[in-house]
Amino acid sequence: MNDTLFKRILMIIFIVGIVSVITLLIITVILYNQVSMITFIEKEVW
Amino acid sequence: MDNKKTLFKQIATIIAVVTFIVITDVFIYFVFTNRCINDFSSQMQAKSVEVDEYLPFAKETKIVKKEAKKLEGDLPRIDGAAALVPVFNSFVYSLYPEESVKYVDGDFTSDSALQYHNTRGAYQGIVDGDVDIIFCAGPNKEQVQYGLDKGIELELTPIGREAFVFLVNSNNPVNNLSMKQLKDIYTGKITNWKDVGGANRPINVVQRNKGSGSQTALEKLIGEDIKSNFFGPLGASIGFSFRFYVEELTKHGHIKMLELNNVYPNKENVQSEAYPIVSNFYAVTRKGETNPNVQKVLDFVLSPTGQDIIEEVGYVKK
Repeated sequence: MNDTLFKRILMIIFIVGIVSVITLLIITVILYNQVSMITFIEKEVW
Repeated sequence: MDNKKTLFKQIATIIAVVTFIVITDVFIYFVFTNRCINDFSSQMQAKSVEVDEYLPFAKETKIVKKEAKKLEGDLPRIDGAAALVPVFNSFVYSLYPEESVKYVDGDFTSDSALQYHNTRGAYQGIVDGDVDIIFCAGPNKEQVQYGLDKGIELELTPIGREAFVFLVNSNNPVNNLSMKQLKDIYTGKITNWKDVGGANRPINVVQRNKGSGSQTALEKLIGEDIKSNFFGPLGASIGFSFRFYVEELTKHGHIKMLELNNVYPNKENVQSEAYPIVSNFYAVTRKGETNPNVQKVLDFVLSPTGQDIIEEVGYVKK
């Protein structure tokens, strides 16, 4: 694949990746404000 | 050959970037997002308790049934905290005619004598005149002020006692805190579990919405600004509630209550007051209430039968 195509693919993947991480963080913050305290403590990763 | 090598490098780069992004997303999901997904229905989460299980006149109900003389005339409207639903619904069973309680599609109708809006809604309701007696923990400053602003003074009648408890994940090795350690945690002087004999993890001070019964109790207990640790969400949490709510209403297996000053918050230690934080819970009415049935409800609640209901539900009587 030529260099321009490679860079475009990489750029698209990078943008999609950043968007997915930001979306997940936003969803997490929204859920955090609604979660029951007990559920939040129960599901703690140990 | 060079072309093949370049293509291989390009594909390897793409795979590496995709893998990195996927790993980041999976890490965020399992460490943060998944913890924030409630196990309860949205309705239960909003109201903190499955009211359907404690309806006073349902065929299958978990309330305590004691017979008493039913009230007649102007029936006081009742509301209260999630943790006290089993108590005040049992009072309603004893004192109210069945037709006065109307529960349709998962909620009480506006003309029902029994309502349920949890602590914040109940305090607002009694000041606004929507309900006449509420069963809750004590009010916070804002709730008292809200009443005073509207010319309403609230009268608090203690009807029972309960331990204020602190919760951690059952895998947390810490089982006991001293009162000083507890205050130091909530005022930001202790920020890591290793300082109280636990793992080397930041302490996540979890709080509830302002105005909720347990949040008000915590603020009164600590007596100064509660500070959250910035790195707390990466660590292990400490939460709080009332003993009965944790033991009886939620029945979760992955949390545990902490001992305070080496005393576990069981019913016996609340009764003997060996456990250091025991709070009253109240029947709250408007001062100068003229409906004679309000006093009749209070008299019943404080009578041996009313106090037996409190005891049989699982709380500690006055």
